[in-house]
Amino acid sequence: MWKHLISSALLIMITVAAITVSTQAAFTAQATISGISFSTGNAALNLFGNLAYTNAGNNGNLTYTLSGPSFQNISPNWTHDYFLKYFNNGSINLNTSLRVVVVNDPAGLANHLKAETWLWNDIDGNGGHSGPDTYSLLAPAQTLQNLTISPAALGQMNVHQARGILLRFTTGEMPSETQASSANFNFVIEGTTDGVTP
Amino acid sequence: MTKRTVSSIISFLLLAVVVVGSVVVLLSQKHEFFGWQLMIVKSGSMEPAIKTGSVVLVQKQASYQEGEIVTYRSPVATELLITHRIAERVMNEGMAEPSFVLKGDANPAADITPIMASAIVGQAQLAIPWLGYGLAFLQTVPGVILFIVIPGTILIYEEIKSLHRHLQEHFVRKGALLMVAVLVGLVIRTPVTAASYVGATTLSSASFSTARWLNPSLNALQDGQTVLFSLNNIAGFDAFAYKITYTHVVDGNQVNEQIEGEIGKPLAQNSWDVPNFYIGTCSTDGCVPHENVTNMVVQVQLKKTGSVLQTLTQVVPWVN
Repeated sequence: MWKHLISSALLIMITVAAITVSTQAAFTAQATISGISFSTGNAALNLFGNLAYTNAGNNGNLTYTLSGPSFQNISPNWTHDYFLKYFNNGSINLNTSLRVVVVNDPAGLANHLKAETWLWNDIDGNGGHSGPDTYSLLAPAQTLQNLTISPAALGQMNVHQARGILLRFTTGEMPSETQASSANFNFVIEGTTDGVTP
Repeated sequence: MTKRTVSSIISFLLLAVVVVGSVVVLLSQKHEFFGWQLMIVKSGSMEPAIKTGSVVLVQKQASYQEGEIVTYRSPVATELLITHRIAERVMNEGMAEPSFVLKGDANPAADITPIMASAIVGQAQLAIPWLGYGLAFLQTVPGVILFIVIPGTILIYEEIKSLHRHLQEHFVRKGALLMVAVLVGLVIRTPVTAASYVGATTLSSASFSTARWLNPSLNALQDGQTVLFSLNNIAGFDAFAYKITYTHVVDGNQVNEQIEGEIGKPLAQNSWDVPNFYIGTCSTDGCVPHENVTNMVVQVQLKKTGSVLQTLTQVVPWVN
């Protein structure tokens, strides 16, 4: 009889505790018990082959890989602006960044070439760089070598959003041994769902 | 079928639920249980291998190989768990452990940052489709109410009402209580992993070529019966070819002479001093200087990868 009473009392206490803990967890603001959101879709970023377009439906020549430019006669205190546009052609929002991959650089030019990243708002949509277009700094100048390990944040790209980017390349003082040298780099714009706001 | 038989069957079923549920609760703790852990997959970048909404059973391993599906902690947010396939295993020079390049099967590009083995939680050993949706529902308010609060309340009511009932029925209630406890564990303990999406686009082979902004210079001069020369601002060249030409008189006849050679140099070296060349003829019996030397010219061809990029020439006034 006593044994039965004690065990029943324990059962009731444990059940009450279980209900209390689980309901408290469910109704707090902690994200662990606010439910899980499941996402399906695909991640796809493209570059515009034609800067005069702003969406995929306008024959913007979207491509995964675009042939890069060729810069010649680089010397100390050189500067050059390069414009590009990219597009979120997938079905999910992505957090994007710019990273450099060294293809060939025997003279170590990556330590002396710098890139500054600007958001280019092509207001008139003509691919041109003047007129009403506006610019805002996304990432300050850093060497291409730094960009191989610390990508420049470009911000969130929503589905079917297009964005213009200005890459401003510069040099400062350059050692004499970098004269008459060449290097090749890939500039990779990557998108991930990490940290994306829905 | 007697009442006792029904109670036995219910007890057996509840015991089975308790055993299975206990295993699930233990494995779904945020800390591993004997190297095992349970995860809910909330996105589809590993499809078709692991579908969205699957539950994966992850086991800690001593080492990991290419092609295996693993769960790892994101280097940018360590609370975020990502389940992808190992695309490449890299043994870095000077590092004690390898690094891994991960990629979702459904992603067009690999994950941005390679990760170290120490960041891997374990290898996905088993994936059960759709089960994650059920567990996820348990983690919502309606799920808690439906599977915890209501059964728990009924359980308390029944227990109070049945204080004087038979011990066997009490055991059935205890099994039900344990099942409620198991569900509570699932509510608050099952971690979630993402099959994180990655996309990429590339501006390929952008070429950068530097100019030559410092002019190379040649300085050649006479030093007694020798000629020597030095070069400056020659960084960026990996070799130079030299040729020294002059005329002298032998037995009343004009004779043209030429001294030539090639020297390789480090690309970064910016200057070079070439040692003296004797203007005369030497043998075992000694050296005889050339007489009436005229028209001495030193020419240097600066090279890179075998190609002549620049030629420097200087006339050397000669005092006989």
